[in-house]
Amino acid sequence: MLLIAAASLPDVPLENAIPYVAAAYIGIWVIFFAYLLVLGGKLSGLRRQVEALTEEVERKKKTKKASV
Amino acid sequence: MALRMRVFYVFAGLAAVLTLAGLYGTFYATPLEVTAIGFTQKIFYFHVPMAITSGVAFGITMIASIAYLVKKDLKWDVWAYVGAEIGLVFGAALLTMGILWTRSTWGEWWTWDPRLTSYLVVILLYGAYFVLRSSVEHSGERARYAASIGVLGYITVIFTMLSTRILRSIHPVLFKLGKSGFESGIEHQMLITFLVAMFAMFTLCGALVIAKVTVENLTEEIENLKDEIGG
Repeated sequence: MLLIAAASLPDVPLENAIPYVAAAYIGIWVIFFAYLLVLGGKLSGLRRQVEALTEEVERKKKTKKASV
Repeated sequence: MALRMRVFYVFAGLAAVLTLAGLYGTFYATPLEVTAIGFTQKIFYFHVPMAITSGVAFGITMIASIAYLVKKDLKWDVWAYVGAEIGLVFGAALLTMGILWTRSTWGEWWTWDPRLTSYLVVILLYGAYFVLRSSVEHSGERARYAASIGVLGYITVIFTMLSTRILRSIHPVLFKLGKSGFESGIEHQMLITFLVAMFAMFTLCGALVIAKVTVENLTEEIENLKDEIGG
């Protein structure tokens, strides 16, 4: 890439650059996937909780009606 | 909620496709020989879009914080909080890439360059935003204090963006403002790959924001249902 400030940057030999570039790309996807997994886990847990609580509210309303 | 989840899947799908296309462009479609820095330039295709996306996410925090301060609606506080969290995720990925590039090119893991230092300040400041949130119990007060940081904190983001232009910096600059607008020495395939990576990061950010807002909304719904059962 013809970076505007590239003149002051050294050309890193390919064999030296590959491990760093690979680590950079693996590192960012590990961060994003870990965050996505945490979010996904939270979402499914919360959904289950909402469903269970909604059922409980409905049950409570029905028993209230029946007692009246 | 169903519509929101549909939008989430569209964003997530687009992010996956665009990311794969961006990676293909980065490693197969873009030339190496025109570069001054060799293979390490491959990092920039995603590094710069990530920096811009983290700025956008912190921008969501700033706008939502202003909206909260004006309207006093806690809905905006949720958006501000979500923007800061997603901004930090992108920030962490950005720093990871940057540090590895610094090590490969400059031979050091870290230098106190204005761009790196100011971005570290951004990360620490938004980290403090979460510390502050967890230390205030009353939701209204918490939202007000957090909104103040959300608005003022964006000054550090703007400063980071300008740091390579107003201070002596060795950080590479991809675009600069010239007489005919933004100028860069990027070739056509490089620009296309860069733009694809940019849209990949934007759509990923959108998907993460929607997922996180949904988590916050569900948490609130659970609290309401618990109150209903308790009452």
